[in-house]
Amino acid sequence: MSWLSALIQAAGAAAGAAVQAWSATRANQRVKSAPPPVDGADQVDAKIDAERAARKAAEK
Amino acid sequence: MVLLVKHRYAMSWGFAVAAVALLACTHQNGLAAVDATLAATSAAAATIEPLLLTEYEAAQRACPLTPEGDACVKQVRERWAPAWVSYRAFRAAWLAVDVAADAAHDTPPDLCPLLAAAGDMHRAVAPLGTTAARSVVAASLVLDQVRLLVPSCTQDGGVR
Repeated sequence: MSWLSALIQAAGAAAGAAVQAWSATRANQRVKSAPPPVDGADQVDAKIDAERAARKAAEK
Repeated sequence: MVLLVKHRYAMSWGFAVAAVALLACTHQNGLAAVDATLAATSAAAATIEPLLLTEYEAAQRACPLTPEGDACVKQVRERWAPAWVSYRAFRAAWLAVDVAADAAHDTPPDLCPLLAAAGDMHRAVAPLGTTAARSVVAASLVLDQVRLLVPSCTQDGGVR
């Protein structure tokens, strides 16, 4: 039955390769949509705080 | 005028990509629907987030350099806080679906939390009444329609 084992192994390898190829194609076709890691609102708050502090210091 | 043009651009672009998502949702391939919805989310966020930040910054800049101005800045931040909380939750849900979609082979990731987060953001941002807020509401309403086409999603974003 060694031929049957070899056939099953070959079929498994072929199926695995097909799945990998399809997965790679899908991954390449996907629009990568991960959101940006920075928090824009926090950055705006920090910028405004710094600007207001600098302008207040300049007025003194 | 510039804001109006940007607003119209964001609206039309958001609607176009969301229409693609709607079409994909009616398709048999669940992964295609997920990919299309993520693409629509990405495109809408790429146009709307900068507008929201610009309006948020402008509202704070309008406050004078007086003690009343400090209170004014605080009020602006408090008024916008629910919007940013919901936007952060939306981005977290978006990232989770994006990571799951990258790893997916034959089972599409669950879209329900992302669609529910979009609905929550719509409700949190709408009261601001700004130009960008109206764009968020428009985009979220389209995502709400997508949710209706995903039979596994419950009204509150859970899974049946």
